[in-house]
Amino acid sequence: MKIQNQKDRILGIASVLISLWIVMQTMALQVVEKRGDPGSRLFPLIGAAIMLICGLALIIKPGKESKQFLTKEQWKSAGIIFGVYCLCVILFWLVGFMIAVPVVLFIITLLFQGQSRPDDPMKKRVIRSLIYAVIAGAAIYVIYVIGLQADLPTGLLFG
Amino acid sequence: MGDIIIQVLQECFTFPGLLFIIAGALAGVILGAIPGLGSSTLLVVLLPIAYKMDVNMCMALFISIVIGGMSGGCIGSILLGIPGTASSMTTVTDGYEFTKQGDPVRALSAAVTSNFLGTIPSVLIATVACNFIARWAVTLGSWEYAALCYCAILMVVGLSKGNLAKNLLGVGLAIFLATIGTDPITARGRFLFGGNVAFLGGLNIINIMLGLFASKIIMLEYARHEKAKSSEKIKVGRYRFPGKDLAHNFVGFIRSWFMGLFIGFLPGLGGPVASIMAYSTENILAKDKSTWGHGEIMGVIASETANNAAIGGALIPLIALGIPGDASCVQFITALGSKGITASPMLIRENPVVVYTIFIAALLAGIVVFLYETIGMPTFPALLKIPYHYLYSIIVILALTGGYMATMSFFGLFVTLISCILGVLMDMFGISSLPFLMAFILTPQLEMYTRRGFAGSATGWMDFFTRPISCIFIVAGTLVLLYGLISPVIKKRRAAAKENAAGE
Repeated sequence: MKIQNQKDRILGIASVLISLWIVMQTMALQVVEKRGDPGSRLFPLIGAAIMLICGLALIIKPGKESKQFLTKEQWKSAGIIFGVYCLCVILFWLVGFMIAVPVVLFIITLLFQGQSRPDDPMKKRVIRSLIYAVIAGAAIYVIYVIGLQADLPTGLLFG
Repeated sequence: MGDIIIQVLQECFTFPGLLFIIAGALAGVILGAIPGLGSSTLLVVLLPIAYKMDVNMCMALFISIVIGGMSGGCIGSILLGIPGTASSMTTVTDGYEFTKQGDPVRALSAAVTSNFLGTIPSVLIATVACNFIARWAVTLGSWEYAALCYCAILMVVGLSKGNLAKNLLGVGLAIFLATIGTDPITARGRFLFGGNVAFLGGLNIINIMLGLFASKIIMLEYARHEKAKSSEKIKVGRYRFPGKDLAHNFVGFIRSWFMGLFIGFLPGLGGPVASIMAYSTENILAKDKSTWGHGEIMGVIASETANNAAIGGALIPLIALGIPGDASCVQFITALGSKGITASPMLIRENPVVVYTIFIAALLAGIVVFLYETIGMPTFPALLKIPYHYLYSIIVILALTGGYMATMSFFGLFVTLISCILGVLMDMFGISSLPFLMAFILTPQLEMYTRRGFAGSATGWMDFFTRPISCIFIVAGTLVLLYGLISPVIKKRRAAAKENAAGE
């Protein structure tokens, strides 16, 4: 019973705290008086009220036990992928779309190959990922920049 | 109307038109077949491209992906015993039994034919019904629209799976997040967090969806490392027309189709609920229940007919009222919004070409999918062997590039990353993403119409209840929410009573 009870209670407490923060932020809004209009604060306050009531309900009556969402190792793996996302954003900003795309394609392909083809030697996986990153990166560049004429970041260093 | 249909047909039968329909339908089938991805991931990553596309071609592509994805879901269910999409969950129970017995072709043929027969009539019904409902809907005022949005949000919460309090919590959060940016009535900024102008435009729904779905899915796929079962040993022969199976189960087929159409029409339910309801109903009504779960062809027919009929059903509130019927309809509304078109009862009057493109492309995509699935049935095992590592890396790039393109700023990418974390947290705490998404997309309209209703009324909130249609929507939404609240208690009591009776 413990895992889910705790999880729901944490969610409930977080929800109550967020709703109180929303109320504070909403009350700080400057209101423009318009005849009949209940004002800008109405909907944020409705959102906060819903969160507050549901948060309290979860604290008072949490749900039943459920299976673990992710193990410690799985959280680490999720963190690695999120790290790659962050790296991609930094590369977009720093070196631009053209360089960031093949780099991120290479990393993600290599990471997933580690799972889907664990028996292949590392060298083979790296070469395969590298070839794929270059070809797919070039194709994506052609589609976005030439085909769709999208104005994508050129990077701080090259812009 | 005849002129418009001819114009749409001319557009659909151009090279780009046919290319988008065929490519969209086939891509939908492939992604639908692969467990864990589904066509909605493809729709989400394509949303930013909608800015750059012709709106009619974009709609043709999107509806083709939806049709293909819904049909492709049965392939993984029948061949691997893993549903490609949530809509094909019930197909696994009986469909996979046929593969285990060495006759996957019978189940696949029945599923493919049911998909086709489920889709085409439901789209035709939607084409006719939308006209009538939209004509009625344009006569409504702000009070009714506000009540309709309220009803749609509460219906999704009340009928969604999972804990009601958690789903409502998601709605509360979505309402707050949707109010960030410019006030729709006074045009003043709200929640700019220290005067940051990036917040003035509000949080872009595309960024939220890219984070909440595409980025999160890839992250969790890697974390969980769930390798699909091998399909190498499965061999699939040529399509066999399931004339006997359909004739034998004709009444059940018709019943499942109606059920799918109706459930699709209700906001937020869509294919997954339609297939579960149809499967359960046919199971309950079956004279011989011993075959169910051990390879009953009606189980496959009911599920696959209902989930495809739900597509047409979901198009009705989308086009006639501007209310998304399911998650893919949210993506349609977003794509239309990116072209400056608002989904509302005026859509069919102001943009008839766009609307009829959706219908005609849906019909053509249904035919393309049927042709591919009947002729190309022996290639199905190959679809399940597509190397995931290549596909996932492309999705990551499309999601992050799209995150930038949606707002043409790094702020959009930042919102995408935060939404990805939010999506993981929502999954962890068991908060359903559909009510959240529905509330986020409907809150701007709900707020605008509610406040207009108040401003235009002499009696304040009373007008929402004295106007009959508005009152009906408010009561209906509230009742569904109450049903969601009470039904688990009733189910618990019934189960306890059954246990007691069995004990005695």
